Amino acid sequence: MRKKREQDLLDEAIAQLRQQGLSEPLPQDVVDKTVQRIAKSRAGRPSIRNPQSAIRSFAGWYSRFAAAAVLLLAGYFAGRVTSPDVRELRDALTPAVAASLEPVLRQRLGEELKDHYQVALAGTYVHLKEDLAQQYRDDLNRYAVQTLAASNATTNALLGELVQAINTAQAQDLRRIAMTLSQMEAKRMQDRTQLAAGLVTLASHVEDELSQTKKVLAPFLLDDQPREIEMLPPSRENAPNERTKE
Amino acid sequence: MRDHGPAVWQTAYRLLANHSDAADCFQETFLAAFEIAGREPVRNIAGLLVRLATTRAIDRLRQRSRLEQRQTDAIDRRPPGDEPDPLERVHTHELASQLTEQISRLPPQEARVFCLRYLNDMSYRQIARELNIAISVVGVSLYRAKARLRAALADAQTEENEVSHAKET
Repeated sequence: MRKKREQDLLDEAIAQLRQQGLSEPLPQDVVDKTVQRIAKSRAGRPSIRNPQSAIRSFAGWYSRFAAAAVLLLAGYFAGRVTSPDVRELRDALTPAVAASLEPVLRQRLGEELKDHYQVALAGTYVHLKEDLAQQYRDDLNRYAVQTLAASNATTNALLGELVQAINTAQAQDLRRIAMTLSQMEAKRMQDRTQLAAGLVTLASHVEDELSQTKKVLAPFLLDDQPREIEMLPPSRENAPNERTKE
Repeated sequence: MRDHGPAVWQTAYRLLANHSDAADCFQETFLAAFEIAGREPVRNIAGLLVRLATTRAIDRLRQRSRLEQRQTDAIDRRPPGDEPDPLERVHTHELASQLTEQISRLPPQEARVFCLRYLNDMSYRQIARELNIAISVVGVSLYRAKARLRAALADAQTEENEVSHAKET
């Protein structure tokens, strides 16, 4: 019973662990980084393989060639023993040997080329992607700088025009103010002249009137001198009436 | 990489349950595979990749377990969206987490055999060929691994039940 329960628990745990990785997709950045690392490791590795593996590969090929040569020789000698026609034997053996070796060679060559070009293409793809991204960033930066410069030039031109317009308006205002002030000054001078002429006229009229009044009053002052004036004490000799009398 | 990448990623992520660790494991797996392919001809590239990914993921898991850096905030396990019950989700997370922890404590060969058999669905013959061991050794390793895991999970479950019972009382 206990063993059954333990087995169930283990089965359940395995099932849950199997479910865990299924919903997780392979991220593209991990693939790109792996391709880059493989391309780097292949670029850093010398083109000649490990000497041991090269020797092993050479030994493999050598043993195959040796076996083929032994077979050929055995066939040759068997042919010579059994049949005197060497040409026929060669004609019969050559296609068979070629047919047996050709597919292996083709397959091996194809696999080598496929591996080599796959890695090279993957590395080139990543490099191309990075180059394009860099070029895009550079173009964007250049365009931003150009746009900023053009915007600055336009802003400066507009500001210049604005300053010029303000200066022109100020000059016009000053000219108008000066003109108005000069008009006011001329008006003031004219008013002053008129006032002076009026005052002179008034003064002459007043003088005429005074002299006229004097003339009118003079006989009255001479004929009808009041008694009080005669009875005044001598200390008041300097009175105006006295002087008038004199 | 387009053909075998998803399988390698699933293998790494399933065991590590952490994006950065799985990404490192993925890169190391493909680099090692290219190294091996440069040295000798490879007949079954899918099997080689899964074997390398499993080995590296288990190594990383063991390192993590040794250093006891299994903090919950460092693990970005994403709960599946079709599980409405939070309690069930926590239980699932806990059970899978316990299993990966116990896998990291297994001997390396047993852990590799267990993962290749039960997480990657490889046959005994494929496992034997990939790990370069006999089929009988695969069977023995698998039996021992299962026995250890079963016992460890049962102990962990019992401890958990006792703790929850003590809390309740």
